[in-house]
Amino acid sequence: MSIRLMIPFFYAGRIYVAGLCLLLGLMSSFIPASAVGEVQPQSLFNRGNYLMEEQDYTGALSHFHEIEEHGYRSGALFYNMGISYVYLDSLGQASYYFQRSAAYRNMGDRADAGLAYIEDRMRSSGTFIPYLSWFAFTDRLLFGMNHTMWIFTGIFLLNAGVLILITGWLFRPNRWIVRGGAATILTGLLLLIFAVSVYVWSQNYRQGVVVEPRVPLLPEPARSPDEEEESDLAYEAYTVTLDMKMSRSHAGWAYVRLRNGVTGWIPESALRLL
Amino acid sequence: MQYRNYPGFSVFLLTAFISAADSYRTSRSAVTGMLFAAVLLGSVPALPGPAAASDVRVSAALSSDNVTVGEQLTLRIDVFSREPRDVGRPELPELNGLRYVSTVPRTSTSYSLVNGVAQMTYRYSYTLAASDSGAYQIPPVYIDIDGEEYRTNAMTVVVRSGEAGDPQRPATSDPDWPPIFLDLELSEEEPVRGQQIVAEIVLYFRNTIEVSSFNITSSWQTEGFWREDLNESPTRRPESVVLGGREYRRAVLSRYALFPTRSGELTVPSFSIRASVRQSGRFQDQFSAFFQGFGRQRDVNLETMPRTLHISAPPTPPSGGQHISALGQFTVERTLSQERVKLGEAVDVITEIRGSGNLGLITRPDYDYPQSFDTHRPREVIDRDNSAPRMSGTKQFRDVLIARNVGEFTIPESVILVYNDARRQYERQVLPELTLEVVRDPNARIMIAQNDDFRLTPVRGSVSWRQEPDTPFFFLWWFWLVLVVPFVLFIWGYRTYRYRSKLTADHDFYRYEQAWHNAVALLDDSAREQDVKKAYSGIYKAISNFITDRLHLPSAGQTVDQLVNELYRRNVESQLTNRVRHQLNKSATIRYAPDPSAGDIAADIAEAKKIIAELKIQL
Repeated sequence: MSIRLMIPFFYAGRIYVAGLCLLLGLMSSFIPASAVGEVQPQSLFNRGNYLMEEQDYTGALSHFHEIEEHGYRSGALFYNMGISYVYLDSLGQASYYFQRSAAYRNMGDRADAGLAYIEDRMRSSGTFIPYLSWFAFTDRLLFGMNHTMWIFTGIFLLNAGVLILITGWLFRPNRWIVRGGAATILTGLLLLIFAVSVYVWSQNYRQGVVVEPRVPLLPEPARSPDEEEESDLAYEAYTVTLDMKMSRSHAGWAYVRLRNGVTGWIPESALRLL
Repeated sequence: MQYRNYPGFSVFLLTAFISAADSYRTSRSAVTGMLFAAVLLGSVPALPGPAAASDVRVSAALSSDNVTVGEQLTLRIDVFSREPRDVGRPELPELNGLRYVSTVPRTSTSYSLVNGVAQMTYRYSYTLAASDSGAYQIPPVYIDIDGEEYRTNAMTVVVRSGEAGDPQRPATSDPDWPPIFLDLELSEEEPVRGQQIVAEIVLYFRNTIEVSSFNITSSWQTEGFWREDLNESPTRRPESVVLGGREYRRAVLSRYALFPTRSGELTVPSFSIRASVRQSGRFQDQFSAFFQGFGRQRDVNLETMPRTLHISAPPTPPSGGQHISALGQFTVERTLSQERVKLGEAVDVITEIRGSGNLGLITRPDYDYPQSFDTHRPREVIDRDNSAPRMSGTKQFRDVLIARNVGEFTIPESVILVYNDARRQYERQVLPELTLEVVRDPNARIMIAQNDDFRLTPVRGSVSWRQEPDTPFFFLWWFWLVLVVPFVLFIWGYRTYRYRSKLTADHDFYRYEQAWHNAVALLDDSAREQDVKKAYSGIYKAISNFITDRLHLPSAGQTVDQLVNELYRRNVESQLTNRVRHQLNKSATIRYAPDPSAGDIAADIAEAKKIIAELKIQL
């Protein structure tokens, strides 16, 4: 083949290469920035576990925190973080991560065992406080209930009830089918109203874990040594309920309720919000 | 040379005095013993170097400061000293409105040794009788102790006129003691707040009386005092004593430790019992009147006199020590449960306060712990010595510490202040510093094994990861879809249901709604009809039926003019009305015309459809 004949192919090749580069450039512009420096959570997790075996819990936690900071979450990650904090005798942080781990279905039992261990430690140190039944009930409603699931259950019943009702009215006229549809709609509506109400109510509250050894519960957010001496104390690893509406009124302070019903103000820095 | 340097002599002297006093109680003829003791005691000043008398206290008290004429009361003079003293007989003042039943006192001496501190109490008791009503002052009583003169405070007694109706109180005419009475004996007459007072409920009765049983008739409300029941009295079994020159039996029924909880005047209320008594023996003496009229056995109510005590506040604690409200004779020690602990393991700092006094009111000492320790709420245990005659035992505070870091830590020295109620001064108890070593647990690897039942094991291997944030349900588009759909469906279904119900129930509505379908059906039939006359008859029927159905007119018997007039009346466009009239007339008269072509029929059917469609809009 003569050079003259090759020239069109040469130009054609450069065009193809330029086009390919343009295509790759366009594609790369659509790739998320975080994916450029991709974090391998499993790799960091394995390294953290290795350091745990070496009893370097601080080092292990630095890897685990790196995973967490990049937005990756896993019940096993939180559970291992809880164990590491137990070794470092930071029961507040341990309780926080065990509770986060407990939210994952596959880690529920293990995380509960970790929380039971912390409760046992609190009992032996004399800082355990009983859960008053009314507050246990309200906390269960606010934080233990899967509001989304109940809302969708209500919507499902509502849809099903309407279909049954239309069937009874139009396609298979029957008084009992109509009544069944109406009952289903009513149940769905009540469930929907209840679940949405509790969900809206729960938005005013959050749970948090005390991560400092002894925090006085002050009647006012202003700190005063005299008040501290007379006030009740929130000990490390206490799970408290925050009134978000009141807490927003004083920056840096949180209005909390302990499990035994005692309320007061504590610095926000002494808490980790769940 | 100090007096205390001769313990053998002290004990001899004490023994001689006590035996003399005891022999005096048991026998009037034992005056010699008393004299012997007095001689011995009187010789004490002659001994070289007596101890300083700064610890001597003298107090006087009345069994009651409010009595009725004829009633008796007891004047008691107590001398307190840490060492044996030469105590002379009190110099009795002259009294107004009262008289001494006997100027010979009842005497007693008690000796206690608590934590190595001795306390001696010399007691002189005189029985007074109220003779005239009024308020009288008992002047100070002077008493000579080791050659120095001491005096008591003056006291006031109010004597009321009235009858002495209580059978257990002696009558005015009877200068002697009652045959049976209940007395409250206190170990301390001028206590400070928080000091222990041992209160004994003592029953005195003559030898001729037998007490078969007794029971407490009402609860003893000692307001202002924290009270502890002491052990059963070791002297419940009666002992013999001499009162007012007569032989009595003395039985301690109950013992209590009282701790005043506030300063000022506090009253120890009366203690009452109901005793079942009987007089024994063949001989009757002056006390037999007590039983007259009731037979030889009866139940009697007995009660002690209320006692008012002046409670003074303890002095202000000196600086340089920690005040834990300890009042009594105590020793304080501080130890560690273990001196070497593993990281995360608990260690107890044990503070043990041992001795006699207000154990239950002692507060926890505070120590400066290193920052590396978590401190937890302490445990508090009181271990009472039930065999002791006073409130005594051990109080233990356990501070629980948990180390966060390894290393060697020191808990600094601490000084605890204890108010010694015998010495009437604060004592400093120095707690030496403690050293604690915290080490890492060499066996703590992957598992935490606090006990055999509990283990935590990290999760290893591949795990599933989630990165997307939790989206609230109200941000999901399909949430709103599934929420809105049932409402739309419901509205549609309801409307359809109502429409169908009306079609069934309302005939006029049914005709109105079906008019269009019926007319179109008739026109379609006409289009298929071969017979021209039948076809035009169908066109006529379609238009006329449509109008009658839409206007709720009778479906038969309507002429063209009537139908057209109805259309006018309903304001239908005149042009359309004319077209209706023309088409109806044409359809009605076509039978007289020559046969129209197929095209004409189709055009008329199309015209009829257009007319009906336009009428549908306007009707």
